[in-house]
Amino acid sequence: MSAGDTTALSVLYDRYAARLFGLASKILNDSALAEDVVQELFMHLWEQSGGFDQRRGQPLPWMMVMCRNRCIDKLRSLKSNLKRSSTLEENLNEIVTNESADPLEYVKHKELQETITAALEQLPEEQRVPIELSYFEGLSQTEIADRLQVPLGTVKTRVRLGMQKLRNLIIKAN
Amino acid sequence: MEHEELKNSIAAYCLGALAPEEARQVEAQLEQGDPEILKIYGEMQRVVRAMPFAVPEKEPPPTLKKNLFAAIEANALRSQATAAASPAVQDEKRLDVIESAKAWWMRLSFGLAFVALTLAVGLGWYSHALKGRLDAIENQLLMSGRLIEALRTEISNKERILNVVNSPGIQLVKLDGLEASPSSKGTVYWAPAQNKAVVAIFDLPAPPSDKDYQLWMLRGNQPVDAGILPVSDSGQVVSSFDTISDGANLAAFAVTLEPKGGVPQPTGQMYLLGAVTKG
Repeated sequence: MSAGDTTALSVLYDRYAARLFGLASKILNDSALAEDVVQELFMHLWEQSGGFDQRRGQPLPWMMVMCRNRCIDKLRSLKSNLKRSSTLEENLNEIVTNESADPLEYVKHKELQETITAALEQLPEEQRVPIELSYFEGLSQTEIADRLQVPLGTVKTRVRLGMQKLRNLIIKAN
Repeated sequence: MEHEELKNSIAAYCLGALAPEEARQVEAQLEQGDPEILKIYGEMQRVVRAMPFAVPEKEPPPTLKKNLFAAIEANALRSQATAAASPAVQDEKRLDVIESAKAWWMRLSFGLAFVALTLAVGLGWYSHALKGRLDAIENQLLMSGRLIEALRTEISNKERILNVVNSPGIQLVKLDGLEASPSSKGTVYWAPAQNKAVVAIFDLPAPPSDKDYQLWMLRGNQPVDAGILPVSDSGQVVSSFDTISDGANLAAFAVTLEPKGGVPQPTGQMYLLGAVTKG
């Protein structure tokens, strides 16, 4: 996507907007805020053009990370919580998630969706909930402990165990 | 942060669930590049990246796309307006363009004017030169014409003189210089049968500008006009003339200095005189 090529942006929007809007709606639980985040995200993509760098791999995972981080930043901003820069996290993501473009992108994403959905469903609720609270609401482990009224150490253990199980389920599925 | 504690914290770090101080400690460890830690980090990141895919798609309202592209267009217009509203730069650019165009036209105008002037001067000079040359040629032709005419006249005169001189029965009459010009000498070649004569004179003084030498034939004592005598710069005269028909009565020839154009009867001083010898 190059500067001035709104057609390319339109294609990108048509392909990914629903997934991004779904994620933003899930995190923010507010359609208007979700629209804001999705619009800001595409504006950012547009303004950053030369556009999406193919060397970053599939655009959707990268855009999902950006979308999630923006949603969390917005949530924290709304709650006047301590903000946390997501810059390093995004940069590290780029380093680790560098993948080549995949022509079967849609199928791959669909498979990924089924895998992670199934994996989350297999997690015990006590592990799944703190992970979801962390990921989709941006809560820290301390906040999760406060929310769930459990000790901080328990939250840490449940998060760690839950994440390891998800990793194993994903690896197994692949 | 201990190694084991770090491994346990990476999952929470990838979820963004650590407190800021703990997150900074993890980042510091990651930057050290421990392969085992980076491997765990990569695996946890893969899980985290998969997390949003657990969320079902949700079609955004159609207004979102319209708003997005309207915002992009508005930004583009704002950028253009900002660029246009940068008066110093824009004015400078505009002035540069205008000045550049003006300078270009000035240079072109001067160039064209110079070329036109050069052409005009050149053509003027050429025209002048051409006209001068034409004038010279015209003069040359005129002079040539005059020369030819003079030569024709001279030839005609000489032919006439020769005809007279070569005529059978020709009589020679010597002219002697008188008191006014003693050194002057001349001869009249008279052909009585043709009533023609030729006079040749040498060392005749140039006449004043208001005077001419006039030739006379004396019939008895009566002078008869024989014509004006043209004198060359060297004081020579060669001229033919018709004589009186009753030549038997011709007594002498005389040359006098008379008013310009001649007179019916002699009034001026006599310069030459020669009597006809009766044979």
